[in-house]
Amino acid sequence: MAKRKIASSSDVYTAILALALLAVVGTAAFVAFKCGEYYGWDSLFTVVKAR
Amino acid sequence: MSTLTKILVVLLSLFSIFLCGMMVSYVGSANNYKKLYSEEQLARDAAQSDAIKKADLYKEQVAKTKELEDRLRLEINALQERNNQMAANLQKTERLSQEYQARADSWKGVMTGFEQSVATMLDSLKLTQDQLEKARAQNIQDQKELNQLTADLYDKIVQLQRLESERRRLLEQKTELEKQVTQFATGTTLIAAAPVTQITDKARPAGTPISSDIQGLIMEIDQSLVTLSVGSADGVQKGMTFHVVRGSEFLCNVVVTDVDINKSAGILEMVQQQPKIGDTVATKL
Repeated sequence: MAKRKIASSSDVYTAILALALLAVVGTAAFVAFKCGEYYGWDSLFTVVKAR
Repeated sequence: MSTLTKILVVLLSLFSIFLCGMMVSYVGSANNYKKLYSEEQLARDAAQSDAIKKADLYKEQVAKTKELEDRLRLEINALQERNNQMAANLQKTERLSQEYQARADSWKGVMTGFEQSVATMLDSLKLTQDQLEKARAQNIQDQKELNQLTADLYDKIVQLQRLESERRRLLEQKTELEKQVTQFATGTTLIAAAPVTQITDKARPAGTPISSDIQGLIMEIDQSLVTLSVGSADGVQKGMTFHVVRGSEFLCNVVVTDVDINKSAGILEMVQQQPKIGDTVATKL
């Protein structure tokens, strides 16, 4: 099987995707941190009942 | 990679970054409602406990107020009763005051009459005292004249007695001479009898009676020397002491140093007040 040649422009789009992924992960971590800080870490995966 | 794939990669990345930015900004600016809820709950609990305390305090204050009201009502009743009693006492006191005022007015009128009577009596007393002083001075003058007349009378009596004894003696001599003449005519001789009335002693004027209480007036004053209106005819002797008085007030003593018939002179002793002309002197107070 012949080796397929990859164009150099693909690295730019990979970097853009990596940046987007980093932004999404960072946002998720930030939201999780804020949620845990405000309402407790149990509220990450459960719904806190109103007292 | 096709062109469409590239466009989708770029757009997906841009939207992802944009949405993540919105999410981060929204979550960063969101409120901590749990914390706010806890704070509000604490505030509510504190307000409820405060309300309970206030209610207890209100009940306590209501009880105290009721107790105070009852006590004040009792005091008001007592004061009202006391006020009524004092009003009755006031009326009684006013009635007594009016009665006493009427008595005071009547006594005032009586006292005014008494004062007028006393003033009139004082005037009469003063007038009487003046008349008494004049009468006393006149009495002293009359006493002095009486003493003089008494002395003259004693002199006249003595002269009369002497003349009477002389007359009797002459009558006896006459009788004797008549007897001798008769005997001589009859030729008998009789021995001459001695007169019955013998001249044993000639009568002498009686001494001036010494009055036990001699009174007079001061006639002259020269410093400590005074001249009195009584003399030896009144029984004044040298060395006698007279008391000088004005009314009932003692002024001084006068010791007689020189005596004349109708007046005498002396010096002042034990001077309490300076005497004046017209003051009374007496040997006895």
